[in-house]
Amino acid sequence: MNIIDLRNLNKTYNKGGAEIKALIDINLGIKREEFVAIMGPSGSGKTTLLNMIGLLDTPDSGKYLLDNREITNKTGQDTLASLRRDKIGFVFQSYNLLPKATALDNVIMPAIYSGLSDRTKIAKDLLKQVGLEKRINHLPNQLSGGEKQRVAIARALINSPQILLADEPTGNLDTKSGQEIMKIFTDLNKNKGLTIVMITHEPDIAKYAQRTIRMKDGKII
Amino acid sequence: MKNRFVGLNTIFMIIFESIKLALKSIWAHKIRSFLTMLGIIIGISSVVILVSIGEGVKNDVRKLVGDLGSNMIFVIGGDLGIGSNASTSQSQGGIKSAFGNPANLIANNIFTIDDINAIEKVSGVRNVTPVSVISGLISYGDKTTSPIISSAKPSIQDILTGVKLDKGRYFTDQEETDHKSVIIIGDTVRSTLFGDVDPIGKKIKISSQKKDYEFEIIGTFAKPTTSTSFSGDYNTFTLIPYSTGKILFNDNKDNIMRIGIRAEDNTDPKVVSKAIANDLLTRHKKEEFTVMSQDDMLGMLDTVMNMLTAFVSAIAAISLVVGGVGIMNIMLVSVTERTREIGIRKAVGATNGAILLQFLIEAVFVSIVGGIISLGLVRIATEIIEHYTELSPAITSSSIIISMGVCIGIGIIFGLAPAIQASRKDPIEALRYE
Repeated sequence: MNIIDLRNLNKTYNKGGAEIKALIDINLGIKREEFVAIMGPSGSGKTTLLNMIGLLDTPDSGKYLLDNREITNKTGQDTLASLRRDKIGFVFQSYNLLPKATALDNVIMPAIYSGLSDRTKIAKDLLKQVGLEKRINHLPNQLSGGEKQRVAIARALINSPQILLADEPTGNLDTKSGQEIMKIFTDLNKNKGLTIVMITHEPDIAKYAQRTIRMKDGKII
Repeated sequence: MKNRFVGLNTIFMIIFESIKLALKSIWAHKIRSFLTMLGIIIGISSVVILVSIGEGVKNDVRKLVGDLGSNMIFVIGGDLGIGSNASTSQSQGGIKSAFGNPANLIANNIFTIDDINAIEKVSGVRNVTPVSVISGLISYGDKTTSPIISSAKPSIQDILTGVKLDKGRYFTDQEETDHKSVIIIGDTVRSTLFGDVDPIGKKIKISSQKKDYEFEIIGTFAKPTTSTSFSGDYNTFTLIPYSTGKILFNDNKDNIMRIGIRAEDNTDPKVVSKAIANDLLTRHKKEEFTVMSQDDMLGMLDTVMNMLTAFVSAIAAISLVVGGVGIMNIMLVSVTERTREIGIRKAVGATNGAILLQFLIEAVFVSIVGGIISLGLVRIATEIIEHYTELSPAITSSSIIISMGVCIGIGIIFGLAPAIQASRKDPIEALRYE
C-alpha cells in the first residue's frame, strides 16, 4: 500500500519566457514506513519533486495520491495547507527556523495552526527526544548547526505527521552532526513508523535509506 | 468534523499568538513603531483633549447655571438665534445668526418698563425684574475694586435662587420704592475691600463718571456652592435697588439690559419663555431680543462646543489618515522583511487566512498601542491643564471607547492591503527569499 503515489506527473515552469520542464512523466510509489533517498545533480528536479510530494506545489498534469487522496492543480490552497499541517513534516537544508523565536517557540509554532492544546508539553518532550532539553529557551543564533537541525526535526514532528520530507538535511553540517541527524531519522523510521523522503548529495547519507531514487533532467532514472 | 472543532480554537490561538508577536515586534522596533504611531497619537490625543476640555467646561457651566435657579428665564438684547424666539431657519443655523449679524449683539438696552409690566401678566410667570448694569468703581478707604454692579428689584431673590446671602439681608420693597442707597456685595468685593472685617453696616463709595455716591452695605453674597472656572465672575456680582440705580446713574431713565423672570414651579420654563417671546414681539417689531431658559443657555454652549469638536475632528481626521498610511507603509516593509517567515509558516500548515489574520492583528495592535499612548498623553495633559488653568477637563468613557474604536478601524483599513499581500505569497518563492 503506497502512501505516496505519483502517476505520469508533469510540471513546467515559466522563467522569463523560457519554459523549464522540471518534472517529466514521473511515476513513483513510496510505501508506508519506507525511507527513501533522492539523489541527482543540481537542477535535476529533486526539490520540485519534494515540493510536489509536500503539497507546496501542484502538478500541471498527472495524478498524485497522498494517502489515497487525489491532489490536482485544482486542489484548494486551504486544503493543501491543512493536509501539510496534518500529514507532513518538513526539514530544510538551511533549517528555516524563526530567528526571533526560542527553540521551544519554534517547535510549538506549527501546533498553533492545528489547535493542539497541550502543545508546550509535547514540544518539550520532542526537544528532549532530540537531546535539546537544556537548550529550549535558546534562540537559533545561539545554537550550533546540528542543534538547529534537531530543533527543525522536533518542529516537523509536533503535529504527528505520517511523512517526513527532508531537503538535504545534512548539507550544512559536519560529518558527526550529519550522522546524529541520520540516527534520529533512522529511529523515527524504525520505531515511530514515519515515512521519510530525503534529498541528499552524499552517498554516505543515502546509505541510511532503504531505497535510493536517482534523478536527471526532470526524470527518474 | 474534527477540523470544524479545531477551527474556532485555532483562530483564538492564532489571535493570541499574533498579539504576542505584534507586541514583540513593536518592542523590537521601538523608534520605528513610535514614528509609525505618531500620526495616530497626534490625531487621537488632540481630539480627546479638546473633547475633555469641552466636557469640563460644560460640567462647569451646568453647575453654574444649575446654581442660578432652575425656573429662571432671562431676556437679553440681541438676537442670538437661540432660545424660544428663534425662528426655524435660525434654530437650524444655531448660533450662526449671532455671528451673521453683529449688529444684533449690540442692540442692548431695548427694553422698556412696559415690557416688564406686560411680562408680569404672562401666564406661568411668578416674578419679573428689570436688570441694569452700572459702570462704576467701589471704594472703601484707600481700597478700590471694579465689580459688575447690577441693579434689580427685590424680586430678584426669588429669581436668582442659586445666589445665596452669606450675611445680612436683601433690600426690601420699601427701600426699592424709596430708592435707598443700600448695596449687597459679592464675595470678591468683600474680601478685597474688607478682608476679615465684618462689612455689614459699613459705608462704601460708588464712583461713576459724574459723581460719588455713598452706599450702606446691608448684605454679602456667599461664594457659590460649587467651585467652577466661572466663579470669578460670579463672585464679583454686586447688587443695588433698581430705582436707586435708575435715579443716581441713569438720569432717571430705564436702561434695562436684561429681564430676569421666575416661572411658576409647576410650569415648563420652555413653554413660559415661548409665551414671553410672543408677548415681546407684539411691542418689538423684530426679534431683537433673546429669551433664554436654562436649557437654552446649556444648548448654546453645546452648539459652540460641538462646532469646535467637529472642527478639530476634521483636522484630526487628516492626521489619522496620515497615521494610517504610515502603518500601511511599515506593514508593507514588514511583510517583505518577513517573506521567509511567511514561507515557513505556510510550509508547516498555516492557511492564507491565518497569515492574513496575523498581519492584520499586528497592524491593529500598532494602532491600538498608539491609541493607548494617546490616552496616556491625554491623562497627563488634562492633569496639567487642571493644575495650571481654572479648567477642569473631564475624560468621558465614551471618548475612550470611540477613540479605541477609531484606532481599531484604522488598523483594519490600513492593515488589510499588507495582510492580503502577505497571505498571497507563494510558499516556495517565500522559502527561497533571502
